[in-house]
Amino acid sequence: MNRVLALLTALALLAAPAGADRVLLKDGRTFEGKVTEADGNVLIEVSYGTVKFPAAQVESIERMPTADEVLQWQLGQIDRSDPDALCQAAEWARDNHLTKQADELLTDVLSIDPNHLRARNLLGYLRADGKWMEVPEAMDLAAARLEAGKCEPLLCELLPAIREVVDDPRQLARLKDIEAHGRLRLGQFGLARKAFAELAATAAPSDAAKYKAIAQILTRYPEGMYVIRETYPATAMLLSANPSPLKPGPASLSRPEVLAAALRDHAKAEVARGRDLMNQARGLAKTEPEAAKARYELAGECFDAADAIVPRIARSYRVEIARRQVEAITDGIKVEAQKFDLLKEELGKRNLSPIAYRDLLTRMLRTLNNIRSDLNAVLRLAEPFERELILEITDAKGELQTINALRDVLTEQLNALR
Amino acid sequence: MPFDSRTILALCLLAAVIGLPARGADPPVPAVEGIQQGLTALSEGDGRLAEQIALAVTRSPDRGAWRAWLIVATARERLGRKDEAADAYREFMSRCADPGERAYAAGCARRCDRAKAAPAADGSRRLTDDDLARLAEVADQTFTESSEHFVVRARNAELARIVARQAEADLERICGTLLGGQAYPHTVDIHIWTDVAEYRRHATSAAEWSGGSYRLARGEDGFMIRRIDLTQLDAQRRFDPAVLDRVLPHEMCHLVIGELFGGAHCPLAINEGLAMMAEATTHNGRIRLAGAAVATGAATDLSALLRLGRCDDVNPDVFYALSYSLMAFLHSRLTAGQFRETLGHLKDGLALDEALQRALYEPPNEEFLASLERSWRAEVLRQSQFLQALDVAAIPY
Repeated sequence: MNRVLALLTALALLAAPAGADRVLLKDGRTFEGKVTEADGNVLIEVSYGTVKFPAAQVESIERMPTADEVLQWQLGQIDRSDPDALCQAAEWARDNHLTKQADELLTDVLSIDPNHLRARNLLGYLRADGKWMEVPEAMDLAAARLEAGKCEPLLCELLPAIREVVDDPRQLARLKDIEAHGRLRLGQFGLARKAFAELAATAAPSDAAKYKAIAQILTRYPEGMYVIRETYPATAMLLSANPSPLKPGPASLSRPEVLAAALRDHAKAEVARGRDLMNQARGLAKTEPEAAKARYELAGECFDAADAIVPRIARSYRVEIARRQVEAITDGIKVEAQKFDLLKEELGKRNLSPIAYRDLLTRMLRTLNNIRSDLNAVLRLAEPFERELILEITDAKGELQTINALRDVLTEQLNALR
Repeated sequence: MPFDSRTILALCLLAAVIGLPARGADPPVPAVEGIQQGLTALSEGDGRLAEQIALAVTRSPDRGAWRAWLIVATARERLGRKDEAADAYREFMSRCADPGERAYAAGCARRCDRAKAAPAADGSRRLTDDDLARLAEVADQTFTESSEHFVVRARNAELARIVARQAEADLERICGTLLGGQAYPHTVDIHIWTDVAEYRRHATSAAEWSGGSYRLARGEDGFMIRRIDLTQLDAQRRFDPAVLDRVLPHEMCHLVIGELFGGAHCPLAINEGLAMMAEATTHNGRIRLAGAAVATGAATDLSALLRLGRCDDVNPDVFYALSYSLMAFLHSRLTAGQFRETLGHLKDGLALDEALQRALYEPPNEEFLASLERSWRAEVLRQSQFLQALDVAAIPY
């Protein structure tokens, strides 16, 4: 009787989500959650886990109807040939995590009315170009419209329709990207700036740098006029690769090629900053190696920022940093190698006691370990630039083999002495 | 609001079309929309409309409306009205706080000023037959003429004066190209020897076949020796004007490159190409020779050309022709800044393709050198065919 009463109470609320069972303990405490009974115990699934009490401690259990029971009751009350009512029930089911039932109900709705907007939306469809399509297809259509410069229908019709159905964060980010670019193409510079700033705040770091750069450009040029200072693309004149490059002069940031040129200038500025730091580092390398290292790290950050805007634009400078660092390490290796040679000479000349002999071998081994560690550092620096630093890599690998062979000999000798 | 921005813009244009006085009569145009319309007209090649719209915008009280002066300036320059364009560029500069944009506008204004100025005559073109006869005279004594950067010694006082003046002009041009207008704070001795025999006796380090040479070395006293040796008379005992037009700027360019590169290596083809480019007249003969070499497959490929350490290893004429055409091609296709930056990277030891990619801020591309070579060869052929079409056989150089 209690159960029926609770059911009716819940149904009075109609669309309200299904409630939790309520357990009253004999000591007066109450718990709410899904209740099951087993082996003389009462188990309550609460938000933080499951609590268990012996049935003897329980005063009463007030059971609420399950979501499925509520749905079935609801379906019993409506006209199942009414697509709107069915759709409403499906939405309730979806809200209460009855996904399978919701999808079945939505399919029923579409069998009655194939163009039922809400049901289509709930199933992830939207209407564009006179046909129903799923979000990925609609996204591709939106990107195509942006590329074709059909931005007004894109912003006024297609994107709002997609926004109704999209819930995946990655697709939502793509949607915002298309919208921001669409606004820019339409010359809505203030709105575009805001949209890019929002994207910069939410996107992954790799994408955020580019969005941030665009937002900065639009902040600096609120009227959307950018001054192209060199023909763009830069190779157009030299390689005759582009039949109609951008000529130097003022141009609208609403044109994608102008935005690309502005972003390239932004990246160029970062590269120039990094290059200055590299020059400072070169000046400090001999006298203050730690300060030089810090400058190289800062330069690397500038190059990261530049590469995030124009991929690989700073690569040749990264190669140069790696080459310079390899050179510095190689100088250190030469010093260690000289030390090793001196120790080796000592080994040949003197009549050594076993202890002194062992000590000498240990020092030689330590020197070899230092060299090995330096060679590994060379490989770590050079291997990301295999094409450019192939000689450095080959040399380091060859020397590493020699060092390892020498280490084996010394280790064997030391083991024999123990 | 009684009018929207589009209506106001249309009214402005209407006023311009029916000839209402421009100043004071046109209502101002909202900046953003007007600037965008001006830019659209500019990109569509309608300079007149761009200028009209942008001029209307400049009268707008909106923030940033002054930026439309750059559209006005660009439109005027593209319409060939250089004087008015220079004025508009200066209007823009006077309001602009961005150093990069100011530098751009200043460069454009200078370009417009240069275009309206009459081209200056240089080299031997101003010399008459009488002048040439006088310059062939040889006195018993040596005359010395000095200028800001040069001390010229010759046995002809007039020749020494002309060479000193010409040397200053050449130096300015060469420094403009190679050093970005940077000063050359040195003094160079120029010796003009009467004939080849005398020249060979004194310019001992010069190649036997040469009629001029340069020397940049540290002397025994620790001071740098900067010296150019030239020859006054040819085999027929006549003054050869090529000394002024070709040999002097050529050797001076080598000297400046030597100074610029310091101890760093400059590929021979680049060094010689730059030196020929510095000469006062165009090498039509060399362009035709380079074209013929490319057309017949006799041209050395670009990577080999850049590796050559001695031109004796190949046909020297073809080598010089290819070197000249390569550097002239690069100079014509790059901005002055990009060209100088490329030289700077070459000095740092980068190969030409790497130096160019860096100067252009292009991501490294293994195919770059091949693309560059294709583009260069196509240009060599195009220029050589153009000269052939003009039938320039009669042109002496």
